[in-house]
Amino acid sequence: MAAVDQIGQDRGGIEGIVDSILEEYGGVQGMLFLVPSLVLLAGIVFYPMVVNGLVLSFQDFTLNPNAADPFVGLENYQYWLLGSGQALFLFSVKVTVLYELLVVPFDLVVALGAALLMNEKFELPGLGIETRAFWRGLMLAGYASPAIAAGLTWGIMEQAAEYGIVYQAATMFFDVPASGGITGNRPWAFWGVVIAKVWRDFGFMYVVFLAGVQSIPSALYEISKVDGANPIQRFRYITLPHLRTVIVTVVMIRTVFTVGKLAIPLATTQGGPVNYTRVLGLVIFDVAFGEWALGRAAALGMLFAVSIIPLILIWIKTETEDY
Amino acid sequence: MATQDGPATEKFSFERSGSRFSWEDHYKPVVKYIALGVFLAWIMLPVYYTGVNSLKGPGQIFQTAMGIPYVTFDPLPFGNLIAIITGQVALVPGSGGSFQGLSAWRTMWDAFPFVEYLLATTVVSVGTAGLATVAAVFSAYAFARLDFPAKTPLFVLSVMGFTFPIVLLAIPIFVLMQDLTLLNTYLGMILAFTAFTLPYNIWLLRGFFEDLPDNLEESARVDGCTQIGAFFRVILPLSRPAIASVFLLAFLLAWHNFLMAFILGNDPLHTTLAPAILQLRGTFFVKNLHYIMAGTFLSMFVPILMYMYLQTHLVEGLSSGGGVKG
Repeated sequence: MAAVDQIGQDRGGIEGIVDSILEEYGGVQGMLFLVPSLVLLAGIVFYPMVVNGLVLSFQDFTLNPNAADPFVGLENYQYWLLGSGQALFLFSVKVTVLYELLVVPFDLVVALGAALLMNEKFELPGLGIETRAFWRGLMLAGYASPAIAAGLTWGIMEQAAEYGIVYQAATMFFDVPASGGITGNRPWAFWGVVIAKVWRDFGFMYVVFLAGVQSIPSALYEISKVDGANPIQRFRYITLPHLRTVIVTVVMIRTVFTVGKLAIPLATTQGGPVNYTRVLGLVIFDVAFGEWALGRAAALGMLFAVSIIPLILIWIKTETEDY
Repeated sequence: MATQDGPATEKFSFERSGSRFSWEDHYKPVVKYIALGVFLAWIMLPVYYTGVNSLKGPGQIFQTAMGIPYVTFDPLPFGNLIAIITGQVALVPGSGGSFQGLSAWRTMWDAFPFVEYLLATTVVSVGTAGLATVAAVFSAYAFARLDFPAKTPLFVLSVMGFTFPIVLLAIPIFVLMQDLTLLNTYLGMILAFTAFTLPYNIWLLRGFFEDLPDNLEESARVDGCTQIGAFFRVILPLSRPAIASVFLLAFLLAWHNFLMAFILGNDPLHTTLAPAILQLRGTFFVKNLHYIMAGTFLSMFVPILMYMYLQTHLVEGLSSGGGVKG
């Protein structure tokens, strides 16, 4: 802490020297605070990532824990980049990018709408009871649900059956094929997954935006009303500029944290029809714990990790900028 | 309002609203409630759907998926009531599907070790949140308020585990836990869950500590505290609410995690609710959809109640943590 250092510098003579030594040790003391979490992280993140993850990607994994896994060189990487896994790899990269490009903006729009709406007052007419807090809580219903439960429910509602109410509602507006319903047909399955994902996830952005909207001084809106600004202008020139930094940060967080997620596609469509909603995370999951080809899956994971490093670096750069 | 303004205030009323019917007074209240209705219909749809259908009998969901089950009373109303309470009898089917009491829940309860899953989930979530929060408090404090060499690289290393997708951590951690024979144990799961909750907690708590006034330690040391004393006597008591909400967020992160729990545990006593719900789909196929509904509804309802009850804590934790400060 800068303030602490200043005390040391203010004192002269031997005391000053002692303090400056303490200051040096103060630095080490700071590192002592890191010991518990660094030991934990070393044991459960760094060690397995390097020793089990990286090494495994060069091995052919055998399920027998007593047998050594033979090294196969670059064969696992070759499988994904040049061999018979190439088509699935490239296709799932496309699916993942498309998924990100749809989910994050939808999240943003829905969450912003919800936050602006929940900043309004909802008094019961005549009774004067403010019900806003209750609605604010209900808005978090999706975010509170387990992703698997959300995906499962939306998947059932999207099936072409008597109980598939979302499918039945969709047939009123769109030409959804009766065989397979939303989850079983190509363009629709993707939207089915996106709806479930946005339903599950928009709560995080909503909470952040609500806090942001609440921190805007209400005097600004009152002045702008006197000046004759309409609601759209007020949103454009007061709300949006105030939320700009929050929006940028949150969109970045969402992008990073959506990229490897697989629970919603797994529960809603199981990656189908064919591979149409099989995001990269789901491919790794299936290869690892469905086919038990852990070496291959680890190689794909490494490729995945390398490809998202730029994304993570951008995020970390903005996080550490204010140091 | 604008139409009632007299000539004296004409200047203001003219500027406030271009037309006679102003947005503020006439359209906004209506639009507001319509928007609320549409939003809530979408948000509550899965909750309502699973809740209502979990109360119906086998196959009733095919007759009406959205209808509320109700009871048509026979000449012996008490018989009905008893049947409802004990959940033994399928009553006279009405247009909303017959009311099954809680029989779907009970059957699911019997066929599916729900209580065991709940217990395991609670143990693992509390353990994870405790471990991650205690470790994170120290290092988040160091990152936020102390100076030491290689601070930024160490911070990047510490939060890396959270920015990396869990699926990338899952394979190495699975192999590690297999090597340590910690598969199907609470300890293995708690350690594995800490891999991604600890970085998250460090990241959030660093934001909290940075927001505290700069001269806190200085004042404490002037008053004779040591550096560590200042941390324990001044900083920790001040950030108790923040630590509570971070604990809560870690708890829910562990509660909701599917992937790690799925790969690390496969017997009911040692896996959590999230992968158990996926098993529901395999256990009860289309014919017994109401069991899936009951299980899904329960798994959503418990955390939703928690969120609504602890809303302010969670909102504080999510919104004022590092990076998302306006």
